[in-house]
Amino acid sequence: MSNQYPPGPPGGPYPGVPGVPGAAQYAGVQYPGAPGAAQYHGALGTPGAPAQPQYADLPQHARERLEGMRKTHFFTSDLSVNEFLLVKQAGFEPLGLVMGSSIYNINVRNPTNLGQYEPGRELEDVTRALYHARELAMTRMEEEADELGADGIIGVRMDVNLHAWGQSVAEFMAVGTAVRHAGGESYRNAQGKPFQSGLSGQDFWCLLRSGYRPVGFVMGNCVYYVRPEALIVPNDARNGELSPYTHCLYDARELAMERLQAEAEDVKATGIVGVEIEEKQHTWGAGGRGAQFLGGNAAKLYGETIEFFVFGTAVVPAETREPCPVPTMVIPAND
Amino acid sequence: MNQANPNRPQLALSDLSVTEFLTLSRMGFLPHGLVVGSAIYDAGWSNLSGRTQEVTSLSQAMRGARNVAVKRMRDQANKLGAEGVVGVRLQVEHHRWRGGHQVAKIVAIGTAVAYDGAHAAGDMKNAPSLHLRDGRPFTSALSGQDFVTLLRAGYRPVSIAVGCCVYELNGYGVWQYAQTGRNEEIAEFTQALFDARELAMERMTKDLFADHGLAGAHQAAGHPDAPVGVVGMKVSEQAHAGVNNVIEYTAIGTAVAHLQDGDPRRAARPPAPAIVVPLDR
Repeated sequence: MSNQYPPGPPGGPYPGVPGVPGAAQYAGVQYPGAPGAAQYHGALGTPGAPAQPQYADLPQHARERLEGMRKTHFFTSDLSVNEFLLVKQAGFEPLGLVMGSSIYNINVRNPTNLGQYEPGRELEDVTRALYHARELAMTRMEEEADELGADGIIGVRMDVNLHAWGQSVAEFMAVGTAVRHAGGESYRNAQGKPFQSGLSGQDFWCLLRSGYRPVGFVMGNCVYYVRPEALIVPNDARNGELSPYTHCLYDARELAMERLQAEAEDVKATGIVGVEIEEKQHTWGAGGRGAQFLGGNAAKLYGETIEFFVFGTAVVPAETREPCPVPTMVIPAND
Repeated sequence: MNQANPNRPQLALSDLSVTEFLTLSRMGFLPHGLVVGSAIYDAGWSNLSGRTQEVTSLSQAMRGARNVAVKRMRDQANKLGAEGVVGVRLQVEHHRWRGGHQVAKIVAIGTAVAYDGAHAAGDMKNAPSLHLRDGRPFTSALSGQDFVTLLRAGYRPVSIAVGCCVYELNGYGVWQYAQTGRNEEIAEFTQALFDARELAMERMTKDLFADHGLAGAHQAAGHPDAPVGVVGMKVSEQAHAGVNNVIEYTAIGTAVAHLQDGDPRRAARPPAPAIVVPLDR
């Protein structure tokens, strides 16, 4: 990925905009994830925040449910019938539906110390919080799969549920189906944990057939504040780019992508497939906290806060490779 | 089982799509009618405590209503001489009636199907019945295509499996956390909803085995209808009856068992997937 930021128009309103949002300027930020992820697995919250009670251990009913499934080989899964059969065809047995979640209090405060020509800035606390919430959910899901003796988790989905009972609260949830290789080959990752993959059963089968295997569900995010001045269309109403706004979104996206890549490099992946980019304003909505009073104009007064969330499945080439099957063309008769 | 099924009605309603109808009829399954079961349960609010905990009475009301609705649908299919019900959907509606009764209405709806030897393709003749051992028809939330794919792979649907849990959250607590202004996990609620979800899934399995008179999966060995797993499972969450801090979790899936030995519907070799490029776009 190129870090090259498109230069703004000459003589634009923000001549001082830093051109290249590189990793260097954020080197001091302790971003949970690669490479220092380990330190966050046990400790909730940001460093220095008061200690939180630990719920890393699974609830009692989770342990009961998993224990039952492990003993009797009775499985549950959210795989469709086609996915179920393809996973079996690929040599894996579904073991059970696994999930993890975390309910997180999210407080967005707009920065008050922006430089005169600074169009916006990353809200590092919020970035860290949203990442941490997802990481907690994923770790708990992994724990469930580990309990089942799984080799991996396929069809991982990362959902964000907003509940009406909490304005500043979001539930982050990871769901997937734990699988084990029927032949007893270990597909666990380098850390000895079950691999995670966001691919569907169909994609999982295709990937294995073409000589690759998933090693991890990788993600990166960035929460960015855009100041109100950057959103205002100039009075002369010419058609033109709002270059400060572009700059902010570009910067946010690149930061998220950079972190995604760093995570994939951390698990020694050769590539990431099925990458998706989501752009969201979770609990705070457009325009931040004042929005509910001001309707659509809130962003022009308070600025805008956006999260970019990118995720994908990191893959490595398998040791043994069969020739990739040639696709057949078909015209489906169903609609 | 080689001749026409005498139970088949002259005209049968169904909500099958054309593809579903054709794939099913090739296997010898013809629709016997749209079957519906419903139940209205009083699900009142007198049991809320203000604390973060399960609302046991509401969990049980929802469970009871679903079981009754599914049973009625199944009985109707049985009367039509059907072997099972495919494409079952469960719909839930909450109403507040005059006089203050808060009720939950559950409707189970699906298409009853039965085997007809005269309509089956040559290699599908003389297939054994898919009735459960106790004579009840099977139920399945799968589409017609999925049903056929499952049979070809050597499995059959047994029954839909449902589990639920209604959980109350202390509404005041959320406000408290919001005032702190910190970014951090709310462990109390994480724990509560995690627990509720696990309970719903656990109950789904327990009720499924209880439906066959088994105490659990450990007793299943040797039972002809013992499910080997649940496919197409969905865990949904919603505010119960529109009340924000009462959350209802529902886990629904289709339990599957192995086909009888020698059933011609099992493909001689497991269906081999091929990589295809669909040309419809």
